[in-house]
Amino acid sequence: MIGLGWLLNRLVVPLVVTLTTCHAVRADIYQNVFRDHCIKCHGSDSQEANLRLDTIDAPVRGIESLQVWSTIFAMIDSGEMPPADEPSLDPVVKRKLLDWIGDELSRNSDQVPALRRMNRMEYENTVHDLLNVDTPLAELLPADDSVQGFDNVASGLGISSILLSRYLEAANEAFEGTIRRIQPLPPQTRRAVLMEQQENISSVKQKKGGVIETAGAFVDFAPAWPPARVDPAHPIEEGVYRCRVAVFPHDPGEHRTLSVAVFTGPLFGDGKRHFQGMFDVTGTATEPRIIEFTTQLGELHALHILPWIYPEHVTWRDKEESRPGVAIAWAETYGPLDQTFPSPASEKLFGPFDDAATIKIVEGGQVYIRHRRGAKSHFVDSTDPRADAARIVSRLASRAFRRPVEDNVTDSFVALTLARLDQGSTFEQAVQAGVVAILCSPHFLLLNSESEVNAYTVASRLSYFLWSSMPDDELWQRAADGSLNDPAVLHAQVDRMIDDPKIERFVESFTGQWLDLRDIEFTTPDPKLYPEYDELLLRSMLAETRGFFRHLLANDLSVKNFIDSDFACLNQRMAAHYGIPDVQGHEEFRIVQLPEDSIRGGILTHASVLKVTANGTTTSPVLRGNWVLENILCQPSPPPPPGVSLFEPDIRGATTIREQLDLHRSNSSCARCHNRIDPPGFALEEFDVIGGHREWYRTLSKGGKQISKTNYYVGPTVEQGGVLADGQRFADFVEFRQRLLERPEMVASAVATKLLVYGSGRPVRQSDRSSVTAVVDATRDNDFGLRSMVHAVVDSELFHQP
Amino acid sequence: MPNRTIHRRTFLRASGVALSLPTLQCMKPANADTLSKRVDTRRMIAICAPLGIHTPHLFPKTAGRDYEVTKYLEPLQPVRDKVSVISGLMHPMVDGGHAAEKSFLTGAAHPGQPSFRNTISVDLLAAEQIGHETRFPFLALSADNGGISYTRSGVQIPPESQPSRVFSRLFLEGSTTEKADQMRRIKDGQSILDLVTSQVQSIQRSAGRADHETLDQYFTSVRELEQRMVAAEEWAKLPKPVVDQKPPTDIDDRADFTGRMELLFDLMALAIQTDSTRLITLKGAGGNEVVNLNGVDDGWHNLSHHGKDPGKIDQLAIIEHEEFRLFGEFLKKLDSIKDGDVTLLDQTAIMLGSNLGNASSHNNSDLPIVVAGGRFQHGQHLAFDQNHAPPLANLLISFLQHLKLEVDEFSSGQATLRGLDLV
Repeated sequence: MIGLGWLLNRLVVPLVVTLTTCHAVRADIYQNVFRDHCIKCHGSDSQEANLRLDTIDAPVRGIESLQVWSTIFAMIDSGEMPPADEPSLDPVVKRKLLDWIGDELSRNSDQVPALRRMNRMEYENTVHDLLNVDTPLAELLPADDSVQGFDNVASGLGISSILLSRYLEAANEAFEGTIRRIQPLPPQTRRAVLMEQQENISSVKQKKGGVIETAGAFVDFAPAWPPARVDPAHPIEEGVYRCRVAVFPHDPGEHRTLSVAVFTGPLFGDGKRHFQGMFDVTGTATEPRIIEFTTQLGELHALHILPWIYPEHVTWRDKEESRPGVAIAWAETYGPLDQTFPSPASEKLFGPFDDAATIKIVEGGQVYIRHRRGAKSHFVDSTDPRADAARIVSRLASRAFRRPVEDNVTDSFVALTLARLDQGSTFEQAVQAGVVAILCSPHFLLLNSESEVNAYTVASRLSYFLWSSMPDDELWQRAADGSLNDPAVLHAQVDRMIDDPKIERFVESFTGQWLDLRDIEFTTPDPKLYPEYDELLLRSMLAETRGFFRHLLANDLSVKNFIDSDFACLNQRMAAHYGIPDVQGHEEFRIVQLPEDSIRGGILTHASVLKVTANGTTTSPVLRGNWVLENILCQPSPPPPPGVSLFEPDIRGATTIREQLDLHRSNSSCARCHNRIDPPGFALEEFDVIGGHREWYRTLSKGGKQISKTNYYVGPTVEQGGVLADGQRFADFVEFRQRLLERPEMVASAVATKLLVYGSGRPVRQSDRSSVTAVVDATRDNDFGLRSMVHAVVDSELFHQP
Repeated sequence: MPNRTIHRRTFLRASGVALSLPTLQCMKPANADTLSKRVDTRRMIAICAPLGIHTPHLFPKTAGRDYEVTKYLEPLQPVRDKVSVISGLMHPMVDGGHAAEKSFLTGAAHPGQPSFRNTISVDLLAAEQIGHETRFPFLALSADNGGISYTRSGVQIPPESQPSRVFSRLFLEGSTTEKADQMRRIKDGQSILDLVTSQVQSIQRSAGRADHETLDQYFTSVRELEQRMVAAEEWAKLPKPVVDQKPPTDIDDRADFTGRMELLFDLMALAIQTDSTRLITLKGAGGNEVVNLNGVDDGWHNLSHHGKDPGKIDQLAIIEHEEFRLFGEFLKKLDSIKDGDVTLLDQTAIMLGSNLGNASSHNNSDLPIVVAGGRFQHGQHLAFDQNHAPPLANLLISFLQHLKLEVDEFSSGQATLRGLDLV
């Protein structure tokens, strides 16, 4: 309780006086401001929010004091206090006051150490990079908690015995993945001609799902039953395969580009299916489009070829038009392509397996494989087990820990491995114990476990920031020769890493969390209200936002584009959704200049963002408003302070959402926060749950006009505009966006804060404001370019602290 | 090796007699002569409904045994004598709206504050004492994300949310080779953990790392896992219980609330019935999804913020009534399974409740709490005056004592809950 904290503060007053004497000159800033502006509500007569400012002491160490001052800082900084109906602070005085509070907070806060464990994605990437395996591991580990919106922050990464037992499990799986146990089959082509396959022939004959045959190809119309069967193309053994599928459009109509999605995985049942991409269906019966990709396939895994057609054909709508479909002529797989035996992963861990080596891959017992007689399983063995085990385990330890390792640490893993040998384990089993021990060691699982920061630490931080994994050879080399300490080399590395395909991990992870895109499938729009929603749209939404972010990053464009941009990253599906002409094809996303009259521009108009902030049927200004404050402006609403009496909202008698919220805000204890929360939400009411722009709500209740050829009716009109917490009015969404754009520094510091949390793996508190300011200052000349901002984060104090 | 009642099937299999049992009554002593003493095995289940429960539909107006049946209590009437509904309770100083779910089983103060640190949950406290008696010391389940069980250092136990996975760990037996492999991994694991412990200690000793939270948690976890490995070695030598149910197929669609909860309730019944564990926690469903129930067309979370709108409350009530129907089915099922002279329900103290007293205003007082089963004098509405109510932690002490643990204090609790007496 705040009350108790105040009491404690009183008790330590003599100490405070001594500590703050030297700051007395500046401390009177706050006393004067508080006396002139605040004590009417936070003084001796009234203590709103349990806060009294006429007797408050300057910040001191201790959580109570720092929390209260952080809140004061946030309230004044955001302009929420003093409230709109009171005289506002002189800008110079305000700046001075905030600087003083910020300094005092920093001086009195202990930095959170950067030490943390990896999260599960980092774990999977690191093990994959270290052992050259692709065994799925993240799914064996529990989800990580988020702190300040990201799952790579120490305090969200707790450790329990259950978690450790999962690490044991995952490490054993990873080890198993390093050994290919059966000689690969010679590569072969397996080809399926669809209309030669009995299931497809009978589907056509029985008109299941309306499928037909044209020009010798099987035409499918929807991603529903029956599936287009390509059984003869299914590989009979696990491996990497090059897959090819021949398709062409069937009656696409005038303006439609047909598309087809391909997934791979088990034919039936609930095994996981992997998305291989969505492809435009072009070509003709004689010269079909050949879709090609290379991927890992399991034994008898199928290619699931699903027509994603937009606009969908609806019989009663398109009486005059024949139904568009995807004609599939043939599909084939060629492989397995990975012919090396022992596998590259075995080579990396145990090798080299040359003639002189004492290590061998040895034929073991017979295994049953349907199509192969007498196949033998293999295992790794050695004629000099002690020496080989020691060599393998110490070599892995020296690389796994992302820094030079002391001999005694390496020796302890070797000793464990040899002890297993002595106790009767086979060579392979003993090495397994050693490898698992390395992967469960704190030297492996913990990042920043050393108390000082050196070139290796910086290399690691860089690679976990941008690649969510351990440093590659080049980065390791720059750390080893010390050149990473040279800022020019450091920044050249940052550029190299941004230009590497592995940057996709950063793009996905950062946008997935900053913008909550990871949650995009949590709700499915009601098909009666939103019949136009389909999976093509869902995938396209994600691709749009990631593509937009990638474009800003690659070209160092200003983060102001997150608020408003004159371009968008679109395919045909998104362009159609946004009413933007002349974008053909769904497969390729491209940067499109937006027409003058388009409301789009900036991520607040991205369908992905508008979908994650809504549920399947309705939008809530409160949820969206809160989301904007927290994710875009980085000014989260504080939780109700302890002891505040909660008021139960009563919206009976209210009709529109706006009236409901007006009632909600008629109570002053709600209004304090909701005056900030609701306005951005009101602005976004112009967009529906799938990001369409609207003037009225869709409803299933009869009354209004029914929209022809749909199940929904015209509902109430969307009320536009609102008043921001600082009293500024906006007439509609466009004006709201303009208000945000008028404060580029606020936007820049919000993005900088998010990047700093993610980049440093620690919470950014008010006391860490200097790092935020530094990033903003450093990028001002580049108009707050996103790439420059990443560079500036790498230069920040927070990034380099122990 | 802990003492335990060998259930009948295991006993029969162990003595080389293969028999197919029509129904599973595994806690019945296999042989009355060899096991003359009736074993009184106690269990505990705690379930949290993260989006609250609309209490006007739950709490009867009258207190005592003759309470009138409310909408939500209606599905529980078949076991009325084994159920109590309790109003007026809360965890003192536990606030913060949704954040309070972290403290539901711990009672730790101010979970919404940035400086919050959690403490041990009631199930894990019990597991420290009785966990070794079963193959799994405890089971932390969740319908979606996040759980309600916490370690001594305040770390959330990663909950299991895939019924198929839990089922396989509980009941599916590997081949002889797989079992040998498992035994070897346990042995390997023991020496690996030994090494890991010393490495964590050496990092702890290095400068500036003395009291680092992550390292403390690492250290405690390794020690705990070492102990569990020792027990696991013993358990691995014993066959897993055989059940005549097929492994469940997980349901990914969050809108299928009924299907998902049924899988979890079935799993809990099986786990208790086979004595695989005696301590279970479950964080129930509840997110932004529009659940597949007739008459519901808005997101659950949205509906819980009903603002007294009768239309929204009606929809919310459809969902919450379904929660109680499922809970009622679960209680009836446990009550139909004999455990010696009594039923499994009589041996299992169960709490269903929420950290939210009123989801619409996000407050954390006057919590909805339903207690069922165990050796309590049930059949009543225990109504406390909010201003003079004992802390909710007292109920948790009642649960601990019901497990025959000598615990007089837990969190803010100082005594058992008055009014809920043991039979």
